[in-house]
Amino acid sequence: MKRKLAIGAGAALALATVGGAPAFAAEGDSTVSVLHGVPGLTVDVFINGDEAISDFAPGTLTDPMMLPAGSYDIQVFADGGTPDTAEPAIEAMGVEVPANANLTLYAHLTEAGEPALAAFANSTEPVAAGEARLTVRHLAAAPAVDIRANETVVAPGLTNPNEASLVTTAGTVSADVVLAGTTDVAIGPAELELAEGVHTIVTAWGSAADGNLALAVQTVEAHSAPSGVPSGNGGAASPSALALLLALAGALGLTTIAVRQQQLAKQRG
Amino acid sequence: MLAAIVAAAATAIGVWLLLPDSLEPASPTASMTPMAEPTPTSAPSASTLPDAASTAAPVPTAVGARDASIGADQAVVDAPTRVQVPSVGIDLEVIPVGVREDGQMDVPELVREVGWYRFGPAPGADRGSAVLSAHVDSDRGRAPMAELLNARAGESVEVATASGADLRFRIVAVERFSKDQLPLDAIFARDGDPLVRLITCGGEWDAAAGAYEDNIVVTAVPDAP
Repeated sequence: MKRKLAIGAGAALALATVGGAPAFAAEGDSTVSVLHGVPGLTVDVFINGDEAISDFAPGTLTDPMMLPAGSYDIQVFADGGTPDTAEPAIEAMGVEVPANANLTLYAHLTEAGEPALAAFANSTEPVAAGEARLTVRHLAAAPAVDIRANETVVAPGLTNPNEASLVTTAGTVSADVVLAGTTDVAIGPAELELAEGVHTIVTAWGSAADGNLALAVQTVEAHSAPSGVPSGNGGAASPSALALLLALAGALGLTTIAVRQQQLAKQRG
Repeated sequence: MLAAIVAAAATAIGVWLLLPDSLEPASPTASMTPMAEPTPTSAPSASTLPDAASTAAPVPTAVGARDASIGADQAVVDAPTRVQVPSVGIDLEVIPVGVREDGQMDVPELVREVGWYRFGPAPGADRGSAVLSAHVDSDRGRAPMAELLNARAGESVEVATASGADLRFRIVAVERFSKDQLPLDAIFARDGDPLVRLITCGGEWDAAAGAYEDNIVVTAVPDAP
């Protein structure tokens, strides 16, 4: 009674088809997003001398770019400026992008309030089904802070330019930022969705002195499938051994009866 | 005479129990490869294409950006509320489910309910697999979802959603997988072609494991209403 349907190679291949990467992304390319965290300045971003992002506003995040591993010159100009006409507001020459990485490049303020560029690698390691990963980054002109979720400190004493990360049950939390060791709220609270199978990256940016501290959110896919689908309860839908036994016993009984009746008929005949 | 009746009844019951052979999909279509050739994605926009003219390290141009503030990017999900496979008489309520302690998909205890894996895409999403699963039986016997085993490629799956939409899908594959070979990553894919996967159990009841050996997976693609 054991029957197994062989999974055709075609079907297996079909099911293995998983999309995700943008078209024409080459093997080994890295995914690079850029977050603008310098208040009050709309900019144009040039990569290797070409304009990649124009009219880039504070608090916005670019679509992911696929970049081959290599060395990149990043220059940020006040809106309308070009390498030919202006001096960059911020620049980082020879930024090394490794292969197969997921990076976020930040234009941000240092703790002292100077514009700067920073790059962080984003984990794409899958979390278990039902869980979420949270990373918090401090890239604001502000002193050390505690990041809290539902008023519980989850990242104590975070300083610019550092990050902290944790894995938790998926769900929505009330997130806020307080000055380290105090309950003085600097940002928030805000409802933050920690979606299942997603790496949520929350970055504090802006300037405490200017009163424009804010949180920016980026999400990176990190899901894994459940380990199975237990959709049977008791075996009632299976052609059970009992049914087989019953059928066999019944058939045997009928045969016996039939034979006996034949014998009787013979005797009578 | 009584013995004859009992024996005949036993035979009938036994044969009847065996006959439906319900755990074999009516039309195994493992050779069918609806997704073997992925639908070409829409033409890549200029922003994702490397600049062909530039030399050493081509960089993208005109990269888009969006508001990164909290809550700005929250997707609205239209949850399924009812699923029908008219050809085999399935018409069941759908409830959202998550993950059990042991890491498996939660499946509703009530056999008249179908669980939708709420962490994955909903039916009607523009990409990924929406997973709907229900028990094939209960301790009282076969459940409504057992009829899924009689479904065939080409038949319709209809899903009603919380917003009142009626979505129609067309079955392209009825497959059976040993549980240890279930392609979970593909079945629960969050990317790729938009699909609906109806899942129940099949195969032999493994009393020791308290579970069936196989899963029946019906895959459907969006269809015009």
